[in-house]
Amino acid sequence: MYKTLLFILFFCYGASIHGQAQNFTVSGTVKDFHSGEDIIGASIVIKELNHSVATNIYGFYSITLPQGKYTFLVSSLGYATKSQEITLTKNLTLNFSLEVKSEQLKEVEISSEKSDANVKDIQMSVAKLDIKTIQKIPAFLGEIDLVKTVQLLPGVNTVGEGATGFNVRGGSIDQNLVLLDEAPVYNSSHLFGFFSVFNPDAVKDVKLYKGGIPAQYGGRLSSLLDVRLKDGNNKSYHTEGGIGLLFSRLSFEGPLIKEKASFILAGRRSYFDLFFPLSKNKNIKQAKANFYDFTAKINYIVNDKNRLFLSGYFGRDVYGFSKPKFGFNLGNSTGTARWNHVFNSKLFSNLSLIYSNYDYQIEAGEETDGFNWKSRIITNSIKQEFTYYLNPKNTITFGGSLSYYTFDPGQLIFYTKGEKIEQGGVPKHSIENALYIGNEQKINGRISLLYGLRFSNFNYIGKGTAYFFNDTTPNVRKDSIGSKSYKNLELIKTYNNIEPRISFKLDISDMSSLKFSYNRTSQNLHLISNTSASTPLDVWMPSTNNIKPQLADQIALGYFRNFFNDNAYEGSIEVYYKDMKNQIDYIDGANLFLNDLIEGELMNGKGRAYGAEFYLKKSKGSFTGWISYTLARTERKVNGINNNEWYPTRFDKAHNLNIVGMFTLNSHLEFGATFVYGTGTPTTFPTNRIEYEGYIFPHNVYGTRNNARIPAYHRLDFSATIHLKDKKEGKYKHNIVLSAYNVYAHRNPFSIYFRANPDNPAVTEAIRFSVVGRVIPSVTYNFKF
Amino acid sequence: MIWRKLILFFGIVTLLLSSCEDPISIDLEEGPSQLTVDGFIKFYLDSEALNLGVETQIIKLRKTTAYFNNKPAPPALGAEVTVTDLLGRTFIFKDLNSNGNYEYNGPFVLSFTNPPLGFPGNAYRLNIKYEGEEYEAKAYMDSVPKLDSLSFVFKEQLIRGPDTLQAGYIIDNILSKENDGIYYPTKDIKGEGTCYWFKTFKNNVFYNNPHNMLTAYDAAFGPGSDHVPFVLPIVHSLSPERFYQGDTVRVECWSIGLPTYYFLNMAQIQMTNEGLFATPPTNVPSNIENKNKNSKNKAVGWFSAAAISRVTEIVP
Repeated sequence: MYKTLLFILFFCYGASIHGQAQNFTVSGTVKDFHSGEDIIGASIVIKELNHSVATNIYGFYSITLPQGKYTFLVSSLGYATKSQEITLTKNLTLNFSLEVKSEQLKEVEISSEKSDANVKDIQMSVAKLDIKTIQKIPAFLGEIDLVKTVQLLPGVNTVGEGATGFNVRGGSIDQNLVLLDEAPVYNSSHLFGFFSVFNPDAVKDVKLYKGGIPAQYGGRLSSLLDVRLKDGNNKSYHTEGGIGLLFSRLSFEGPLIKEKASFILAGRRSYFDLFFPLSKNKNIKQAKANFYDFTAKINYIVNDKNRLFLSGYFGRDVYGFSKPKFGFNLGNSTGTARWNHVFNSKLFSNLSLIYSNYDYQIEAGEETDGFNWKSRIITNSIKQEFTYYLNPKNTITFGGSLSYYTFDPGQLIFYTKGEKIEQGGVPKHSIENALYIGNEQKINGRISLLYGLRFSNFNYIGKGTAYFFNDTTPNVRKDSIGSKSYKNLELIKTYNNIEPRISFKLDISDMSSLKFSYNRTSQNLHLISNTSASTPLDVWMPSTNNIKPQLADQIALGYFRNFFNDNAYEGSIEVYYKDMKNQIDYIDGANLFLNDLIEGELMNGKGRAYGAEFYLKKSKGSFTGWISYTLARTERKVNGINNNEWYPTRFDKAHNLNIVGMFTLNSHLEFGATFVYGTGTPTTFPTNRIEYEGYIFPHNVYGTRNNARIPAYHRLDFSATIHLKDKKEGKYKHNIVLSAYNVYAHRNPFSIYFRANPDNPAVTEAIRFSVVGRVIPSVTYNFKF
Repeated sequence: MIWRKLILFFGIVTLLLSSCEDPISIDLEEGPSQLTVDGFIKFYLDSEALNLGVETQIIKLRKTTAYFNNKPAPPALGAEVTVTDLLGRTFIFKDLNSNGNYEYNGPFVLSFTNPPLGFPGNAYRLNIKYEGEEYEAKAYMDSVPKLDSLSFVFKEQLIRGPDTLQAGYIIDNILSKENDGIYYPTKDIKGEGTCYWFKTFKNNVFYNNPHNMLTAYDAAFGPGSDHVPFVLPIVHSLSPERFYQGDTVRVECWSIGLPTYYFLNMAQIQMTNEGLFATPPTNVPSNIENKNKNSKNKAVGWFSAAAISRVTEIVP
């Protein structure tokens, strides 16, 4: 490893000597002229050299060029290209503001990226979505949703409707790192899996990495969902909102100090419980069932070299009754403070302080008779990133992070006639450190490389108790054979991992390229869940003396091809193979809650996933959309399950087809449609029944797991957006979105299970469970001024 | 288990949206039939058995059938069944009525030298010879707290999602008479990991819906609750529905021991494995072992022992 690091450093040093003759650096930011928002991924082309750079997530760019005269062409999709001639005789700071193209044009483009990015960028296995696109896709109850839209992309999958999270290239839901302005979000759902916690009005940019993950990101095996919030308009005040059937949204943004500081505040609340007081029933009258969230951000441009950001999220789901008292609430809160600093025109730095908390609480009864159950996971992190724009051919990123985690698995306190009983609840602590270095290198006009190394160091520490378990027959509860108490910060177990990352791109022609990537990822935070859809009560665990870090190696190969001169059609084919180690599985009948000896309920296995992803997107014209098709397999092998043979995971789907179409009829009317098809997910069917004490048990005599599949899933959704006419050309814009989810009312089974008929237990039957069994129409009114 | 109930409850909110369940017809492959063992060696704490002076123990042997065979399981006939206890005595169980119910009948005398087969503290080894195979299973009998009385409390109508509980009585507590002659809430037997199966009967009909299967680990659902009164979530689960004046309510407490506790919980999970939060379907475990480890014939079912305490009250 050290040799490789040395090699990289030496290489960079060598490259820097090589590029020293009379070179100057131009750096600056690219912003939206009207809102002052940074433009992520804007392209700056130096016409004379036919060379380009892109802005980073803070809208910053830097490029080093020999002395001379140049024409800079700055562009980003949806914006008019700006051209500026410069004479380079010294280092320059050059900031650009781009004007939005005429409204008509903007509406029909569905990506904010430069139009050939998919072919030209080194990154593969990346999907970028912008809010404009997401807004046009028919949504459940008319509420547009980031996570639901991500599920329409190739390689992304879900176990079923209403399930929390998503599965990327055969990874389980906890293998996705979901970041909201860099803060990890541990449960990205409201109302189980129906809505995600991200308020689309406050989101600027969404990027999903399925592979070829750059070295600066780590901590999860399968993917990174990077959600960036808007900074807020720093020129004028704006209000945006929507009124839907289930909830309403409102956001407000504007300058704090004109062109220096701005803010955005956004909130949502569901209101089906506002109608409860109308009920005649006392219990319903006093019941609570709602969710809400607030997203806020401020940013301050101190000067050309310094910029500060503060962003936060707070959201909760609340359910309960007041008599008899019963309550359940859960939610995330995150906070991020960031400081961008430009050391010099070549060195960009960002320092982030991050806080994240996910917790839930269940209460029932009163102080003397009842119970109280709380659980949470807290993250405190500090992260330093540097980008060094060494020369036009090399951009080096390096940095590190330190995180402190507290895992409180939950403590249940019972009060019975005044007596108090406590169950479970020993918290766990850990510290994770990471160091990384990476370089994006343009070898020549056709070949680019992105390579890096990430070193992760995970420490399971006190205060806490480490348990030791005997080795027993697989799939049988392990008994504790002892434990040891550790003092505050005392080291219990350390894991180190080195994660190489490499991506390679070869331009075949102006319109096509071939890309390859390999990455190793490790994961030390594990969501302990053995249910089909993760429950809100599931807890996160660190790697411990008994739980080893999960590891994955992924290789991917892709061919990217655009069609027609204006890149109106983008196409890609990617194949991948992923090998996963130390995957967590559970013994039959595992007791995963409030169990201090939970590690005795876990098993360790391996996984593999492979597949091919086909993607064709049309991003220009009045008709836009995409077709994505994934052919995939994802399997597990765990001693003690399925007779020790490979078996498909619960979310394995051979075929996954998504067709998304959007049609703009005129400036007043737009239509959207989505069709989704997926192979039925695997399940286990019984072969026999056992009669015992008057009960009937389903039984599979062969002891296999996932020997059958539920019927295929398919669904069609429609939406129509009517932009309401305003006589005068005012600031006020509004529209009505009519949508229908599951248009042909197909009863898609989430699962098929077997039971004895409750009225006649001697009769056994198979039951199809559908989460959404009918068409769901909705209407939403959106406004903006 | 409490969290399963909670999760089911939270699921109701989701279900309100639009979910639906309906029976569908599926073709299932049928596997070879297996021997099923269903037997508890029992000891009743009340004096009934003593008054009769006769001890009857039954072990049922059945065969598994196709899953959709909606008839009672066929008996396993012609087996040789014996139980050997801690004192080294071997008891022969006979299928007297050729219905697969293998019985032992003997005198019931409380004596130290020749106690009945079923008494707390005894341990058992079951031996079955059937169709050329020999099976074995082990069990032991724990003590059980004595239930002496039930108290009831009136509750108003309660609507939780789609479920409506009508106004009526529920069991407020289970009580035991202590040495001072006063009734106290029943406590779990001293010692961690004593486990119980509570069964409620209304007018002599057992609530046999798997959702109502109620087990306890010590006085609650896990470690940390040794030798204290049974916690409220357990006591309140004794009433699957509301009772009315004049109803005869019987509660039985079976001391099942930790292995049977896990077995029943797994059985319950598999019988109620529905909805969004289902776990992977797996086989309910069995403690019946074929003495010939290499044989392909495996038996299913469970052999156990329990001391049983029961109390019957008429709702006042």
